Amino acid sequence: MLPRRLGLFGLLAPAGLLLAVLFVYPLANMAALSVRSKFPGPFTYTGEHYAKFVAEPYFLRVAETTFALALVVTLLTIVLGYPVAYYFVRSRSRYKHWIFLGVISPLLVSIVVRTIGWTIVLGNEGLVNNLLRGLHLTHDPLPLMNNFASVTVGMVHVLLPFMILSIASVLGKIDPALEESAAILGANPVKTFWRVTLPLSMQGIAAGSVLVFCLTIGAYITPWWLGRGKVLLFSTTIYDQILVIIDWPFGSAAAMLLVAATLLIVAVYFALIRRVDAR
Amino acid sequence: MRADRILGWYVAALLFFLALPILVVIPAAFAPESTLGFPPHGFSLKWFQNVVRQPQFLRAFYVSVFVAIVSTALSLATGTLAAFALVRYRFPGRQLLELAFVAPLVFPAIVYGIAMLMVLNPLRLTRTVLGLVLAHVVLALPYVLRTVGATLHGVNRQLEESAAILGANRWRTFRHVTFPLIRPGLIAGATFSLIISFDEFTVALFLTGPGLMTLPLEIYNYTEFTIDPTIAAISTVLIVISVTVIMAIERFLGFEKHFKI
Amino acid sequence: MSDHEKDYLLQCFAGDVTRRAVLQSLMVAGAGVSTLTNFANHLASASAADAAEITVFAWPGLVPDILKDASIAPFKKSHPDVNVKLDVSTNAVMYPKMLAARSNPVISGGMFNDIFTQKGIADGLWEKPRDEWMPNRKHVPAELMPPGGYGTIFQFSPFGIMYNPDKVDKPASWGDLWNPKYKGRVVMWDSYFDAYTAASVMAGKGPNVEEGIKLWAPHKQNIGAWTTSPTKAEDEVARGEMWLAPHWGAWVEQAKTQGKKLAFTMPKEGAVQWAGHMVGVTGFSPKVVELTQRYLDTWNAEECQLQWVKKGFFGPANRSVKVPAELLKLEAMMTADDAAKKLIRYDVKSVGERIPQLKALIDRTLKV
Repeated sequence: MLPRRLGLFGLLAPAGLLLAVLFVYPLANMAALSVRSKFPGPFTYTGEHYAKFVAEPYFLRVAETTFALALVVTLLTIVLGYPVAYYFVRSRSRYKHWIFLGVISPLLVSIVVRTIGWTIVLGNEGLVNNLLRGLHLTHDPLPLMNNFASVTVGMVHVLLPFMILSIASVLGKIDPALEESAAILGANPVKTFWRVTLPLSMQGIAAGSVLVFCLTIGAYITPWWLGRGKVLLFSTTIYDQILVIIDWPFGSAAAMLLVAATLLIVAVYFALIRRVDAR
Repeated sequence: MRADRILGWYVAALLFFLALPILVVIPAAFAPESTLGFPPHGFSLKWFQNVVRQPQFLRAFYVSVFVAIVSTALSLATGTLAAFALVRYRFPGRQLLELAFVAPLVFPAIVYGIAMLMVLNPLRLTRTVLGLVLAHVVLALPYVLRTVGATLHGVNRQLEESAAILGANRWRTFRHVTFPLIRPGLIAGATFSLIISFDEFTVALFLTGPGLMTLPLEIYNYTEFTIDPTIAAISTVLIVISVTVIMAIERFLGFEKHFKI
Repeated sequence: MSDHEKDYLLQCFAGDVTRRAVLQSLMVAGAGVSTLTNFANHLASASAADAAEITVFAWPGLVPDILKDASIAPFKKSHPDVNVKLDVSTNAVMYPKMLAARSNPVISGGMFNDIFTQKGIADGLWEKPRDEWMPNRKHVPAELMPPGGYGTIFQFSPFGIMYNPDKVDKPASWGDLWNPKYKGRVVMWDSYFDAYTAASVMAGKGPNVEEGIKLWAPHKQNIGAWTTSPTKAEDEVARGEMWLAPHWGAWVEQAKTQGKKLAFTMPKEGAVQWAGHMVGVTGFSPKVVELTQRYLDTWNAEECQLQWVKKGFFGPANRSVKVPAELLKLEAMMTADDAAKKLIRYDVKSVGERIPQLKALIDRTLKV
């Protein structure tokens, strides 16, 4: 039951106001920039920046890589993270805080330290390569760090905590009695999971997926360092445009396109979740 | 049960993977070489001494902690209210609003940083704690909305209605029935929000200046001078602090209470 | 239920308590937050208002320390009522910040490299330096000054090749970077064009960035990593992940004093000139403009120049500054007049204007 007098408006007002003034307005500013021919200085209105993005195959490739990465990372975090969330929720109390710490450990170190940690593990002179060479399995070092795979590993690593905690917070509220009843009614553990637990935890998976997908799209530092600059992503392109080339109209146009495309995907995803939930 | 054992091993392996960078970098903080490496060849505390000798790290730490706590508190409050609206009510434009609230997650932080700088500059809110806190609240809101919203979906309305029938008013119902049920969502949201704010670098880059620096920025500025185990030392200290804080919270609140019914 | 609870419930159902209570708590929270943030602002901000205050941009690392001792301190003696604040950041971050804050600028001067200096001229950000406010300008060789007349060089360094002496032999030529043995072991600086300039000079085509990029194309598999931070390149080479990198002599020498395993050499075709310039920013009162220029000039004064040389291994732009003999033995070190003669210079102005095209060319030629 809610303070009905406050009503819907009261509930939405604080967040809505914050968003309107400190998010929508600054972005509208940038959107206005994106249709200028140049900034700063005298300009004309033009859609050339948007056109450039759609026309050149280089940028289409960038978009492909970006969304592919986001998709792969999201799926991996769901598959890898769900069991951990399940275990965390169902386990006996003594180790719970250690598991929690382990789960959020990627986030406890600064991003610089984290990426150097990966260099130490995956680099040409890193632990993995030294091990392979020591076992005489390879002679030259395997380039483990300048490709899509290493970026995926790095992103999965840093985003698993988000997925695990999102799922765990919902999973924990599922009444174990429901699972017990299913067992009593004759369902084996797999069936119970598939028919009872999983659908009930959909909201957690949905929340986690949205977080992970969107965060991967927007991530810049981790993919840049783990890809050694060779994995071309939307975020690094935008970074270049804003800070290196200082072509803000083009950078803003790219950002607008990125957000629009991502929100579209998220909207579709929401619609699907609603369908599943309704069942 | 065998399945349980397999699951246990799997979880241990995954947690090892998650902790791997820490396990590799922390020993490097105690190594004498100036290039971060593993395994360490020797033992030295000089990097920790280096951290202590530079007061900007401690000052930036206080700023980061303050900004993280205040922005988390604000985002929890505003986010929970908004979550109630989005989950419990049906109104035109609701789905659009849901998307709008997700947008800060997607929007490239660089562009948001520049955009905020251009908006806050005429208001003279750049280089102020308030400006930074507000920016961080906007960045944290999507997390809170997602996690609190997710748990809110699972709250059985009948429980609340029974409470009302039994005579509890709205506030009491919220406090004794709804709140405990969404607590895991609040904790997850608070965790994300605190960590996001504390670690936040890109937007802070544009909204700070001399006199207002956050810890990630001081670390970044340091790495523009040299990359040596000093940053590993700082990370070690931060980890020790976080572990201590979480253990303390566990003492007082207990995790199993919040992630289980 | 006790009477007390009943009354409370009745009051709550009446609604006024709820609304008022919520409003009150919101107001208290709001007041609390604003007092707290004000307090935090006081905690965070370092200095109080002075008779006059100028904010100047400086690079991170040892620069702020050098400035505090060798530049701000002497300036304070001659201008006791002026407070100089340093905003520490990198070129790539500071320039956009200044551009975005034009309506209400805070930073009245700072240090930038050649390319950003040219950008600032094109974007109309700088003030023209006045010789009467910057007397040390006359000690700088004219060849070293940036084109356009809006900046003043105060330090320079040769751009050559950094390498890990344990892993590779000393490279003699820019072409050594293309040696197939070094596949995947070269770090390239992502937004800097000096390496391509050098390649083009080596091929006899003069300092032309586009030609250089095309010359690099068949050898792109040697590029193991792209970086936007000098320390990251140094770290990669020092730990043996990468073996070579086009890099600046001053930074290599600084890294060596920090204990990193690195060496620097100037290839036989020559090294490209990197310069640090000081610029004053428009949009301020005449008094602030003058004070800023007078302050910036201390960077070219002998006291500060010696610090650039001894601590940073930068070449001094002021030709009357004596470089200590042991330092001159380093390949990375030379006098201003030597630099004017030996270092390769290219058309910074045109490069500054063509950065989007150049970057696009690099992305499409060398990164795919």
